[in-house]
Amino acid sequence: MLRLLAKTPHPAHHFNDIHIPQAAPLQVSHLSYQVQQQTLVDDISFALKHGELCVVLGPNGAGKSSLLKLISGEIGLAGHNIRLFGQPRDIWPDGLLAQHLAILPQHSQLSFAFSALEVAQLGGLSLPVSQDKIRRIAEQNMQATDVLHLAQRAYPSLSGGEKQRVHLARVLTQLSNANNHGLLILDEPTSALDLAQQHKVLQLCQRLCQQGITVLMVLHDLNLAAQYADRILLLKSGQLRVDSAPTEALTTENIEQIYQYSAKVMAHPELGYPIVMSESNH
Amino acid sequence: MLIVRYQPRHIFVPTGLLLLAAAVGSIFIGPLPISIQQAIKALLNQEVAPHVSLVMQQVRVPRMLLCLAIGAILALSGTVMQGLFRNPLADPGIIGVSGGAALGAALAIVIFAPLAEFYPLLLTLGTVPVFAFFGGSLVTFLVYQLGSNQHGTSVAIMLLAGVAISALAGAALGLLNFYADEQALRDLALWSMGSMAGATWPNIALAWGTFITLFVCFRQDANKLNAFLLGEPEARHMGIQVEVLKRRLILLCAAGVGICVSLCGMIGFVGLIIPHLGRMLVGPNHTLLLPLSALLGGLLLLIADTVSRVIVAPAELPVGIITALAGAPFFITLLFQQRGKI
Repeated sequence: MLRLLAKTPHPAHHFNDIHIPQAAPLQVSHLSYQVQQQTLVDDISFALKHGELCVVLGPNGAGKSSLLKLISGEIGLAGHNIRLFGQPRDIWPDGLLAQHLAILPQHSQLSFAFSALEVAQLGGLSLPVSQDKIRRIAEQNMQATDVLHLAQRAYPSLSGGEKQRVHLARVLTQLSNANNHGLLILDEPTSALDLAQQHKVLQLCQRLCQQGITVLMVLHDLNLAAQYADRILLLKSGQLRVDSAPTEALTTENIEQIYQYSAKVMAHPELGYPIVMSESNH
Repeated sequence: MLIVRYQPRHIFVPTGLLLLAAAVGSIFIGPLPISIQQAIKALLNQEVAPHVSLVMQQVRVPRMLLCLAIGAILALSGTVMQGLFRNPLADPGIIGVSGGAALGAALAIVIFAPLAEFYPLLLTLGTVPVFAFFGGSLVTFLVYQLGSNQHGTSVAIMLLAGVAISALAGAALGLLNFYADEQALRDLALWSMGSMAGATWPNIALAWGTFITLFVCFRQDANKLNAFLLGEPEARHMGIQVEVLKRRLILLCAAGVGICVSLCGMIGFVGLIIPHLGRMLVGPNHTLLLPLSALLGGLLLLIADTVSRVIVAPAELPVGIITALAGAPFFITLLFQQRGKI
């Protein structure tokens, strides 16, 4: 009850124009987060470049989800440690922020019988455009995420992977007004997808990056990250241990150090990106 | 499963016509046989037998108007609560909100009974609804806090909390009966019979004022409520101030339920059945669901009240019995469907 009655901050003041050409889509500086004397995120700093596809990797409990939640504002008070497009996160007005920052969660609780198209249209909530326009945008995005043929299906009757792609269409709809100033955060977007769909989603993310959207995602599959990421962040015990391109990040030593597991890393024979394999079978 | 959505007007126009027919029908049907010609004359203030004019102008028309507003408020509150709890089993009666409101109302009746003789309106329009509102909001906050965690709301905890709170409210009501003086006891008995018989013009004005306020406020939040169905974090990421929205909707629902309970006692299941019926017709989109719920709620209560007046005429059944007879089997069916999820 106290939580419900607590005042929510109302940050509508001192907000400058966001279209600062050089401002990084996301700048995290000395970000830490503790819960009951346990440090979940420990002094992390990094900045994303415009149109970059950045993948966060790390073992279970490394602080990946906490990092995403801090950036999305679900936990903690970001203060000025997190800047989005040059502005501290907490002075962004809620409605405007939603047009530039979208988050795809791992699971959704939706159990009411919306059609898939209606779910995708929900992303247009804070857009200053008409319902018809939102519907067209949502349909385009469903085409892009390969679920347009499911448009009239009841959302609760879809499979996990189909739901995930409908939600991807929803967050893309949310960012459709971002004009090159969009940051998309995905929390394990491929967890419910089959092999072909995993690659399709990552390829879609690559296309989005070419269109000027910046993508930050958590993945578990090192090979998927190696193939598609521009940049990899390796986390362990809440610390950012490695921050570099896939070829430098995914080395036998780094994997040994982060995951405590010996792996063999080879270069892809044609495309050159690293391939991670298990070293032994015991 | 394919979703077929009808054109909104193909749903709203027939519902509206049905409501109109029920409204007209309800003023012609009753224990006192009044011919249609006489009834129309009475409505137009023309010369008719005094008892006919009295029944039409002071009983049937006010009652019809009160039914429409109360039914609509109960249905709107039920719709919004189900959206808020992201759960189709949430209903003001089942989760204990009506019980809390009833306790508040009874408390006000007992405390302010000495004043009732001198200021009858103060009691019915002032203190009783306000106390009912406080009782209702307290319970809603409590149940929400108990039943919700980071993964959404737990139906089992929500329903159990409702059982516990209803039992507690029942016991406290019993205690109040025990301690109440004679005047208060009479008022309590009259109130707790819970019928639409108390349709006086001030009551009708309060009910319609509440209905219009709730409808306007809920309509403004309809899109946000749609996003809320995705989950609290998702709604927050879409730019909605979740805590503010939640608090506002809980208080509005509690106000609606509190005023209904204070005016007509506890009428269950309207807030449970109607949103389901509405979703079957227009889907879960609240911009359509809310107005349809208001229409259907008025319709259901009007029919239930007409049945309650004629079925044991010249006596009258409490309308809550009729809605419970229709609603309880419906609720059990829903429980069957949800069995796996609880």
